[in-house]
Amino acid sequence: MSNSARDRIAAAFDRELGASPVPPALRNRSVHAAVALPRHQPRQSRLLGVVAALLALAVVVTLVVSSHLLRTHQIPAGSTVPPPARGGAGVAYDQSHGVMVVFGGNPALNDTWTWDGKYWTHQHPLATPPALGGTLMAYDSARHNVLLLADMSWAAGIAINSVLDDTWIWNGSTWQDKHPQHEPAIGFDWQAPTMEFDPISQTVLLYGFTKDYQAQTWSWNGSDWAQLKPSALAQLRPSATPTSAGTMAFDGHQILLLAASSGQVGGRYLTQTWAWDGSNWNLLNPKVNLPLLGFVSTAYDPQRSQLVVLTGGDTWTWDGSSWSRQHPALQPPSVGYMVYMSSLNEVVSWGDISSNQDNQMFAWDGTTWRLIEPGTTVPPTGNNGKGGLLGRFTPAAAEATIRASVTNTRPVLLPQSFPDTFDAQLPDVSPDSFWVIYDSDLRDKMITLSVEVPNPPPATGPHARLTTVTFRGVTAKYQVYDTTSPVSMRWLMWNEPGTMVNTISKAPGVPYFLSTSGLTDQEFWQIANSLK
Amino acid sequence: MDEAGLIRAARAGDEMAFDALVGPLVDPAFRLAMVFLRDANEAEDAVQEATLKGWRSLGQLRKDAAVRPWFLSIVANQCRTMRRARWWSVVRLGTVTRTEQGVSERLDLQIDLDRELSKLPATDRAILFLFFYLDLSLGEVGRILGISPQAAKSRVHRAVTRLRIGMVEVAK
Repeated sequence: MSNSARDRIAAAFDRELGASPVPPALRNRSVHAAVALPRHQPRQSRLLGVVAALLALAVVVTLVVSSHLLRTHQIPAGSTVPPPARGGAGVAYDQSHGVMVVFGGNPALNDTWTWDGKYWTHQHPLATPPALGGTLMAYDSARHNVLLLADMSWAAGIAINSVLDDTWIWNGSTWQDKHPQHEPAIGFDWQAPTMEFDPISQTVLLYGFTKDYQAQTWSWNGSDWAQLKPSALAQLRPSATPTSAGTMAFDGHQILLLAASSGQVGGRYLTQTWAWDGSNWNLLNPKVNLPLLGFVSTAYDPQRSQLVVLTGGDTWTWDGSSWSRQHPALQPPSVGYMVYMSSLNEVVSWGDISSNQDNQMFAWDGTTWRLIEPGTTVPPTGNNGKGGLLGRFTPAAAEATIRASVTNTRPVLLPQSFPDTFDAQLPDVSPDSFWVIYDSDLRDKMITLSVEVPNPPPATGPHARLTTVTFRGVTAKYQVYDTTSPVSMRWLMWNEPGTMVNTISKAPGVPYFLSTSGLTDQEFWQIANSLK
Repeated sequence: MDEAGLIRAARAGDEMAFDALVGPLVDPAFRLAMVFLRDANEAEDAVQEATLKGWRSLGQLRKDAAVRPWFLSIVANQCRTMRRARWWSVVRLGTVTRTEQGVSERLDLQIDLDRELSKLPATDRAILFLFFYLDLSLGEVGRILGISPQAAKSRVHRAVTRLRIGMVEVAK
């Protein structure tokens, strides 16, 4: 790379970033907000605190045990209070001991906990893995232990990516480092691998990508890892392997992989369902597909013969051939770690796989969720203080909230007519602008409407079409990404005559952006023409 | 006071020491977050959240550790976490270049480079930004993105290749 090329790239960044200067107060605001919050106490005072707590605990335990002995009752060791909330932990159901096992998590934790369906126990094994990130765990039914695999380590408080070079097993009382002869070459930074026990091959399967983004499937036989190569025939198929690691799950009969589609399918992005046949991944074609998912957690419920999938805001079940979105009366606020607890005959979700904001526990009875442990950390209901609202609303409730909240911008336009049954999410609402997302019941149709200056990706395909149209008396841009797909993604961008107290566009008026996926041209304009 | 002394003081709760350590990094952190997120509001959130995480994890920072890659790696991780469901990005005031201004009609090479850079995936943009704009060593780039220096080198090469391929295609 010549200096001139270096300079040109640096200059290009300069031009791009020059448009968004660093807010002058950001340094003060960030540092002051950070130091205003309490940090862990210094080690010495923490030690004193621990000693004091242990003494107090000893007194309490003595009193409690004495009291219970007098009544000749026994209680299991532990507490019903769940461990502190953490994302990135390894969690699996240890079938041979009837407990959920939790290991580590962010930031840099390496504690081990078990839950027997009622009581949590903080385990103190003789050996324990170091603090690991990117932890995967699965119960190995053939060898009756829990397998743990990690592709990150922590150094100086930050996660350092590496290859999957930590393989441990939990035998119910301690951890053992397996030091296998071979280690999976999985290590792509931007997609975590996924792991599950395959009852057909009696091995643990691992699917992920190498550092240079090559899909690989590996299996664990109890002592070593081996890469499984797809058959020559399978390699000739146009869609031989999933292009994202997704999430592996057992559906009672086979191993599934739920992975994001590599492109639009039928005019939208979705989560595709793949099945493992022992040597290849085969794309299934269910009547109903899962929508594109963010964080996702799964557990198979043998009592009800259904695979339960928890996503951000929704619960789905798989009956072996198709997906159904459930309509529970209560939905956990987070995507938790899920296991099926034999002692409860229910799937349980604990905490949040992606944050340290939630350690509540919920149980799934086949119809709805119920809170079984309130936990000590409850996720915030706001959206980072920006006025956004989490949860699902009816379109009417969303409209009422938006009209009450957006006070600095006029007009506030919202759709009055929908081609199907939709509910709404409000990721961002402020006095100046809003962003509302409407989803159909099966999440296969989506409408987004926002006041903002969008920068949608250019449509470069041969069937893309960008046209200028007159809409509501002004010139608007209308983009269809794939004119050969009747329900292609499409958007409309225009500046509505009106006023903003705090303008976000150099052009006069209020910048509106309407986009849909899974809807026809006619349905799109039905919505657009109903804005009021 | 040298950096090790500032780290010791900040770990003991000295706010000014923390400001001296992290404050000068807020500017590059915001720009890195912009490269990742392309949204000034979200970039601000990312920097604030990363600063909070930095303050909380100071106890795990070695006294001889370099603060810049440590803090920027927290920012990078925060940006990865904050990627939202929007399939489009948002342009804020001052950067408004609506599509009707005819991006496709611009033939100037500088504009081509800007456009190709903006089309790169966030990972490639971040690595080019760290290496070419912040002028960091491959070792530091690797530490920030959680990869080895060798991997950082090959990523830089790959990103530049993509940029050039894109520009060649544009020229055609």
